[in-house]
Amino acid sequence: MTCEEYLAALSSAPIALVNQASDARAHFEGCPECSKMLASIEDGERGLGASLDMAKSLIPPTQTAELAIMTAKRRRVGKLAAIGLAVLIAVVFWITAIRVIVPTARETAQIVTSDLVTLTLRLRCMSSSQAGDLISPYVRSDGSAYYIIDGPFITVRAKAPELAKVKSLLAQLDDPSQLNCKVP
Amino acid sequence: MRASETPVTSQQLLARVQIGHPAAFSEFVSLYQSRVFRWAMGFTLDSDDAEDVAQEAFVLVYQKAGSYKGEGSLEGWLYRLTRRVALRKGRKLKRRALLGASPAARPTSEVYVTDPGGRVDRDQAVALIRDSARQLPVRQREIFDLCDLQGNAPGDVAELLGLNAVTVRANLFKARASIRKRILMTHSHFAELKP
Repeated sequence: MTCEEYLAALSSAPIALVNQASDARAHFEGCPECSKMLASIEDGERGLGASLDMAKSLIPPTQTAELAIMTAKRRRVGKLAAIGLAVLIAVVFWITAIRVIVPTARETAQIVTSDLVTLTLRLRCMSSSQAGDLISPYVRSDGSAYYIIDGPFITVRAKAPELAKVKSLLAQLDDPSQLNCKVP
Repeated sequence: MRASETPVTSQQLLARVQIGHPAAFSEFVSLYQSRVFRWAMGFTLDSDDAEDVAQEAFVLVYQKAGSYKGEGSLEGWLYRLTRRVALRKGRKLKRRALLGASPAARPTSEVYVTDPGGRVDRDQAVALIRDSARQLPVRQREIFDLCDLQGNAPGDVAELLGLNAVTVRANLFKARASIRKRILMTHSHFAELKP
């Protein structure tokens, strides 16, 4: 076998195995270059192993144990505090949601929604038929209607935006201060 | 695997730790501190970091004593806890090194100077192997340490790590090849053989 072959074996085999094989041992003992390389690897691995083995913890076991117990307890308290805080935040959020967010969202949804809303409006000077004529172009969506009843009232069923328009129109034109309360 | 010498005592100690017995925990630490520290050294290759890892591993032991159900070896359980802590620490150091926050955490690039034709001196060889080992993938490094440096049989290491023996041997082979190639390359004779 050549130096190259022995070195190939040395590059991955256990040192002990290399030393056990008599032909390899003879080669490494006889070849000064290969011997140097084997020695480098042996020295290096043994030296590193020894330096790692020799390194000892400088902290006494009792102190390590005490510190570990203290740290573990402190972390447990920290964990409980974090859980408590999370629960508190969840409760605050829940209360806020129930009291503020949900009602606000409902109102908003009612305004935005396409559902029909029914409302009876009191008229101040117009007759209900006059008011009906006035609002009829604005109450056009499916299912919407207005009801002319005796007396100064008109009942309107319409979508929220239509109803808002009707209310603003009547507020503007159903005004007793205007002469004869005429419809334009 | 020395745990097999005193399995009953260690497990009894751990059982007492589970019910919050500080003296038992102190005894447990006395029994295993040097071994945990040595494992930590294999991962960190630095005694200060190993100290931190060992300390944190015992915090975990105290916290998770109840999770050891007596299945598998106690030493294996302890090794896995140490490993978890060491890997976490390694990731932290790597992040710090990436951010350049800790120059000490950066790998030393030139710990070894080639000495053509001459014999590599022992300290240089140790430094070179240490540096090479630092650059190995964690799995290879720990297997190299457990087998070649601590002298455990690959079969025992496989059991300790919960791996197949073939996997352990394959990793050991790769680790040795990587480390030794670097040493061999420092010799002019090897360089001549492998142009």
